[in-house]
Amino acid sequence: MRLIAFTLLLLLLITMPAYAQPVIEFVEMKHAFGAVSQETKPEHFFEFVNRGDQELIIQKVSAS
Amino acid sequence: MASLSRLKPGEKGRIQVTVDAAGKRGPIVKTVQVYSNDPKLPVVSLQVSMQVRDSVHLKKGASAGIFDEACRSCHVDQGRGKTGFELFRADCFMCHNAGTSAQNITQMSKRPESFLRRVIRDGVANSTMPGFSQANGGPLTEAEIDSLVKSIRNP
Repeated sequence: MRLIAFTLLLLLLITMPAYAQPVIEFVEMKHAFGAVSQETKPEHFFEFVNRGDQELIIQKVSAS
Repeated sequence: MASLSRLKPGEKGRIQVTVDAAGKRGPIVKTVQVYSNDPKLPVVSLQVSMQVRDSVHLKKGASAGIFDEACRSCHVDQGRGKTGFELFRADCFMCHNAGTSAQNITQMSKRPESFLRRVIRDGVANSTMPGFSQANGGPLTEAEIDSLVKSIRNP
């Protein structure tokens, strides 16, 4: 009985992400520019994809 | 900033991060927080890092020219007339601090005198350490090199 309950719980946990949810996934989360000169404005694009099955909304991007 | 603020399943987007390096110096780390409606990951921290150098010091291994006109006001003139630790402070400390590119004085103090004398005089090949002796185009006399060796050995 306990085993069945455990199996059901496990199954629930595994399948949970499959329920309608947006999932944000970044290719990389860190970037090193290396040595740069003071006269430059180094620029980088972080690419991401919505791996979920619902619309992903980017609400805010803030820099610190 | 995000190129698209609403993405359908499978859709790709990107966050642009720009850093203005003007007026900055040394290691810089900037983080950007991305807030979304992903219930598992509502905030993602992105990080960019860089080493900001002024244009004079941008090229690595450019120490060959440090006794030349453009560099001497910092790398030669401040050590004029000084000996021993005062000379070390003026000519050596800028690289031989606690930095990573050169050994600090504690590490160097364990080296034999003959080694230190040779390195100060002739430099180290394929490194940023130039030869400081006058025979190598540097500013230091034998007596000044000797005073440096002694103060490095007894910091």
